[in-house]
Amino acid sequence: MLLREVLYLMQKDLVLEWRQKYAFNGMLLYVGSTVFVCYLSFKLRGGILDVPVWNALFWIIMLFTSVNAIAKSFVQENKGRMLYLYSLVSPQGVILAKIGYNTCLMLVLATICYLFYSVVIGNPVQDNLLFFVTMLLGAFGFSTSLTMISGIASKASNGGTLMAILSFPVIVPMLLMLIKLSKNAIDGLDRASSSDELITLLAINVIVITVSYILYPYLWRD
Amino acid sequence: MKFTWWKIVTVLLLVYTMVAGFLNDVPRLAILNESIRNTYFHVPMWFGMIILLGVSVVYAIKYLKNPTLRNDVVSTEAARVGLLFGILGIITGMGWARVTWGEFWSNDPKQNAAAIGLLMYFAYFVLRGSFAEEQQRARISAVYNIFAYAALIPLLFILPRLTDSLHPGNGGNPGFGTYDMDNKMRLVFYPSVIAWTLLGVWILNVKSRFEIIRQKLYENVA
Amino acid sequence: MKMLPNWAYILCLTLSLLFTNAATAQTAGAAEETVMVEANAPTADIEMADRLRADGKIYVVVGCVLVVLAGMIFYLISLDKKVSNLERQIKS
Repeated sequence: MLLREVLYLMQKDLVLEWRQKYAFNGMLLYVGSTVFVCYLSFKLRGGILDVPVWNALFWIIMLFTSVNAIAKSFVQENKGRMLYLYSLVSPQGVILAKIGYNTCLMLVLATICYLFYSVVIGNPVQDNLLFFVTMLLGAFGFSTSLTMISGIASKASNGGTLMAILSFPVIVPMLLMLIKLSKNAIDGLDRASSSDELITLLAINVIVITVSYILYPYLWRD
Repeated sequence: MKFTWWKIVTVLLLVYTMVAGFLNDVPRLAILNESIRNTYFHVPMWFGMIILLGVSVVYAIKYLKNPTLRNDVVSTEAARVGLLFGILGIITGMGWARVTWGEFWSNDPKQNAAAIGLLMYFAYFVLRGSFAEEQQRARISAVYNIFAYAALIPLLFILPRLTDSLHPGNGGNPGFGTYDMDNKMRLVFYPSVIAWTLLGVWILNVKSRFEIIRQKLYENVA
Repeated sequence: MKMLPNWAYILCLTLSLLFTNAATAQTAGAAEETVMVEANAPTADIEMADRLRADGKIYVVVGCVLVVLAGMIFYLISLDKKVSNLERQIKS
C-alpha cells in the first residue's frame, strides 16, 4: 500500500517536471555555467588542475547544484495541492516519494555534471566503477538530507536563505566522506581501503532516512 | 530558591575543582607542561555540551508527543546553554592549541567537527527566529533539533576516529592524545565533569523557569 | 517548582560518570605505557611551574580563581531567588 502510494507520487512529480521542464532546465544551465566559470578561472592560471583540486571542485559544484535543485522540491508546492494530498495519502508516502524523486533527479544531474566536467576540465579518474558508486551514494545522500531540510525550510517565511543555512552543517560530514572516497577512486587505490568510508556513508544515509521517515508526519500537520 | 542537594553539590565540587586543579600534582609531560591542567576545564565543557544537547533532544521528543509550553521551553533553553558550553569549549580549546600545537586553529578533525556542530545549533536558533506563530515554531524546531542531534553524534564521535585512522602519526604526540591521565588526575577530573555539568543544569533550571514566567505574563497581558 | 524531575538529575550525573569512564578507559592502556616511558626519563628535565609553587604564588592564583567563582555563584543564586519570587507572586 505504502509502496504504491510512493510510486504513484513519484510518477506524478516526474510527469509534472517533464511537462514543464522548467526546474530541470534551470539546473542544467546552473551546472553548465558553474563548470564553465571554473574552467575559465583555472585556465587563466595557466596550469593543469591537480587531482585534489579537481576532486574538491567537482563535489563543491555537486553540493551547490543539489541545494538549489532540492530546495525547489517543497517550495514550489502550493497550499491548495498540499491540502488535497493531505486528504489522500499518508505523510510517510509523501516524504519517501520526494526522496525517491530527488534521488533520480540528482543522479541524472550528477551524471551530466560529471560528463560535462570531464569534457571541459579533464578526467583523471582511474577506478571508474568506484567513482560511479561514490556518485550514486552521493546523490542518494544529498537527496535524503536535503529533502528533509527543504521540508522544514518550506514552512518558514524566508525559505531560501534558511535552506542554505540549515543544510550546510548537516551535509558536511557526508561531503567529507564522499571527497575521501572519490579521491581513492581517482587514485585507483585498492577497494578494500575505502570500505570504512563506504560503510559510514551507508550508515549515515540509513540514519537520515529513518529520522526523516519518523519526523515528517509532525511537519505535515498544518 | 531551594537549596536543593544538587545545587550544594555543584558549588562544593566546583570549589574542589578550582583548588585541587591548581594545587594537586600532575604528570610531567613534555610539550604539555602545566597546561595539562586544562583538562579539568576544557574537556568538561564538551561533556556538558553533549549532555545538555541530549536533554534538549529528549524534551524535543517529549514536545512532539505532548505539546506543552514547558517541553518547548526546556528544549530551547537546554540547546542555548549547550551551545554556550560548546562555544566556551572551542575558545578554551583554541587557547590550549595555541600553546601546545602552535596555532589557534590547526586542522585537527575534532576541532573542525566541533565547529560544524556549533554551526548546526546556530542554524537551529535562526530557524526559531523565522517563525511568528508559537505552535508552529515549537513543532518545526523540535523536528530540526532531533534531526540535528542525529547528524551531530556521528559527526563528533565517528568522523574523528576515521580520520585519525588515516593519520596514525598523530597518536604519538601527547598533546593530541589529551587524555594522558593517571589516577591522580582522575581524582579531580571526574568531580570536575560532574560539577560543570550540574552547573549547566542549574543554569538551565533558572532560565527555563524565567522563560515560562515570561510567557505566562505575555499571555495574561495579550 | 521543580523544573526537571529528580531522576533527570541522577541521569545527568550517571551520564557524566559514564562519559568520563569511557574517555579514560580507552587510554588507560596508553597511560600505563606513557608512565613507564616517562619513568625512565629524568623528571626534573621537564619544565613545570615549580618556582611558582615554591614562592607560594600559586595560592594567589587559586585565591583569584575562587573569588571569581564566588562572584558568579552569588550572581546565580540571586537570579534564582528573583525567579522564585516571581513564581510565588504569579501563584498568588
